Amino acid sequence: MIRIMNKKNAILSIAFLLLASLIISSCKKDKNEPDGGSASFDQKAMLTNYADNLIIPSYQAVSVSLEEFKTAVNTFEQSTTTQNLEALQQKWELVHTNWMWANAYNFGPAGEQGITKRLVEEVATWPIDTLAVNTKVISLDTAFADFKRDARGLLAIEYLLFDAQKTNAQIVSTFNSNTNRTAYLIALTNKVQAQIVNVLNQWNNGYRDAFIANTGTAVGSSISMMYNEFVRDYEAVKNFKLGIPLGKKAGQTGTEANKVEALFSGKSLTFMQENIKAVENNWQGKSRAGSDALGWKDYLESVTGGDALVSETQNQQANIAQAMSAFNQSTSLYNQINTSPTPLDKLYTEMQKQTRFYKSDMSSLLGIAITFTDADGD
Amino acid sequence: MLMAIRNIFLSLKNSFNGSCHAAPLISIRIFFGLLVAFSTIRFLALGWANEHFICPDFHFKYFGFEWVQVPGAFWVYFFHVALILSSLCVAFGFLYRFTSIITFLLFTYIQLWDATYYLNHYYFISLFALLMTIVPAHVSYSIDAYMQPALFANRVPSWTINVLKLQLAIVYIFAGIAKLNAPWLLEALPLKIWLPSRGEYFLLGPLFEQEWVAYLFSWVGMFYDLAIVFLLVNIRTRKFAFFLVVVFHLLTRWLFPIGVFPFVMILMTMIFFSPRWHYNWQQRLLSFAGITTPMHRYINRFRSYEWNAIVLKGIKMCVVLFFIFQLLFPLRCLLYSDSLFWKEQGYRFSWRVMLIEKAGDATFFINEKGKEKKGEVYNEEFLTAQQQKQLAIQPDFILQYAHFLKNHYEDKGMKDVEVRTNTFVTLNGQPSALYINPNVNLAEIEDSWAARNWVTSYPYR
Repeated sequence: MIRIMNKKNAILSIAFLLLASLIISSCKKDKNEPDGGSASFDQKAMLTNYADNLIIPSYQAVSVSLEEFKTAVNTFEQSTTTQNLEALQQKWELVHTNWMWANAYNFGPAGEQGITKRLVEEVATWPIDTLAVNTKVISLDTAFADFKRDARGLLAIEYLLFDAQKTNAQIVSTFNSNTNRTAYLIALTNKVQAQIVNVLNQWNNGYRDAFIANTGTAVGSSISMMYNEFVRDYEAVKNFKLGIPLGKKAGQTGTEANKVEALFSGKSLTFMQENIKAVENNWQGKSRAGSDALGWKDYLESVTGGDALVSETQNQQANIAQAMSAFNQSTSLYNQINTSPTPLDKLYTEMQKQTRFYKSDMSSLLGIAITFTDADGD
Repeated sequence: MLMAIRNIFLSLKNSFNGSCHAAPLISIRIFFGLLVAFSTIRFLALGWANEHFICPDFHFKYFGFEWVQVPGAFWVYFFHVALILSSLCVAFGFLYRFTSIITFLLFTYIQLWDATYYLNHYYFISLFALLMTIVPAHVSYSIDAYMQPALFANRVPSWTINVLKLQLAIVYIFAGIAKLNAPWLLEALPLKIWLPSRGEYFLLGPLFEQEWVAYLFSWVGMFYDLAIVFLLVNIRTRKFAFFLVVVFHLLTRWLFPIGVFPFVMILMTMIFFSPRWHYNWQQRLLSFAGITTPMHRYINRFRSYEWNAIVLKGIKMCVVLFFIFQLLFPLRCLLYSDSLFWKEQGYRFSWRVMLIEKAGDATFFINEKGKEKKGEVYNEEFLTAQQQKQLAIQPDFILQYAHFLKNHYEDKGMKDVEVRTNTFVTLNGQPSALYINPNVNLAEIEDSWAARNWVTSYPYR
């Protein structure tokens, strides 16, 4: 008796299972259409957009401006004048502005490889260890064989070219009185250029296609790597460019304005705002030139619950933009922190509110692996 | 009706008092030992011993096991290697009573190091390893039986096989019951979130982007978990059921990063096959390999494994208590009135497998008592990405971390540190919402079984 029941039960339950799933799947059709849960999203098209319109052009822009900077360095070496220094300073600002658009893609050729750190750590570490730079200038140590990343890179170049305590004429005279300084400047420039060009070349010679082909959202997929770097870029602005100088970090007893990025040129504010703009373009999938194609935003709009997150994110982007509009653009970040930090505090708070939208909510909806190495779930 | 109940009762009684061939136990012993060894070797090969236990400065603990500390780097590797060796000894039936206990203790001890890496299947392996210590799985095809022929037996009490089946039944049926919830069945959550990201998968990819497939998988998964044990028990459906087991677990392995879990379930469910089935493949394998061992000769002799009567009574009592615990413990969530998925009171150790999509972002602020200056903690300074991910969605972790921060900053010279958090959590794709009361000084709260009133109530529905 029991045995017969079991057999019947088994057949019945399987039949019911199939029937139930059929009924449920067929009656769900007309509901929930606007949510777009079933709309398929073209990951390849999104990755192509990022590669061709955001990543490669950004590295190209840095590379081109670095070439111009190098020419200006050569001119400055030939004739170390105030006029040539000022030309050089302008070129450096251009390079660093371009870098703000290229600093969010530290994976693949720009990722950590053995003792080589992520590109952003290799070429743009700060605060600069000025003592170490001065020592290296004296000994003309241009081997860059150590791990003193805070004695090289774009911001070490900045340290050599700018000094708020001195007039440009005085800066020129430090170069004239010590030719090692020019030699170290050239070495620093060559090093940064080599690192950027190396990454750009790899993107142009094979990595682009590998990047586009590497779909999915698991650990090691292009989407996962690019997403994790996107979040790190955002948090780097919030924590390191703004939070620590403002003294927001636990354990800090007060502001530390001298920890701003680009302390010596006094252009921290411009760079930070440029970086925030780059983050938002990154989120939208919009190139720096303004052409908008498939990006994170569009990906989110294609998944369950994505529309709500997109509108929350955009609201918060508007709040951030508003907080930035309250700044005094003509005063340096350093001075504002010391004299009138209120608008900066406001920006920091607004950026804090944005973090979860970029970080946990986005990865959760898109099912992106947020660990950098594999891990079992359950 | 009464007859039917009486029949069931009798067959239950029989299944615990009778005896049967030892072959299933032998198979399971070998599979289990090899699985634990494989899983541990894989763990080391992926560099996880270093990444999970040695690198992090801070470790999350299980309630009541806060005293279990991660040992130094050498000992981390030592215990893993010891586990590999002892589990291989289990597989080969070498010093089985001793090595099976060591395997259970080592495996469980390693799990207790850091609760970040809690997985239901690790918990399952721990429980199964404990059961393996009491069953006579070494009575034949083992080094022990080869060395001491007196130990050899080819029949064992039926209950020693049935407890393993019962353990598997508990896992599946509780996992099935856990799926009987509205989001899973009526909204296909979280599969509706997870499957579309597999849209680029080979062949079936486009299907995973269809909403109805998420519903299909949700319902099939629920029925599978609830029914599979019954289908395995019944001899007429057994082969088909095992086919389902293989397909189901391989499919989930393909779709989700769930490690060795599918292989654990596929191999362990083979316990449901008849002693004859196990005996046959063991014989075939041996003759295929051309092995005629002394054990082989014994196999046709009829000999039953016997315990000392008092020991047996003790063991049986423990087994009964063990299963009563297991039937009740997963139900402890019923003692709390708040949303289980949100507050996670009674979530772990309850066979809730791949049940919800939950993620969060936890920002901690510290200040000295009575002072206005608040500092934001940058979590990556103390925690790995995986730890940060788990921290934000589990209230007990949030509390542990808050206590850690208090101690850390007081060691650095701050006085009377207060810790508060702005934590936002998104559950099953809903907009993220405030998770922890931001005004509560978490440093003052101790974890307990009491309801967590410092966690917000689930804001939806």
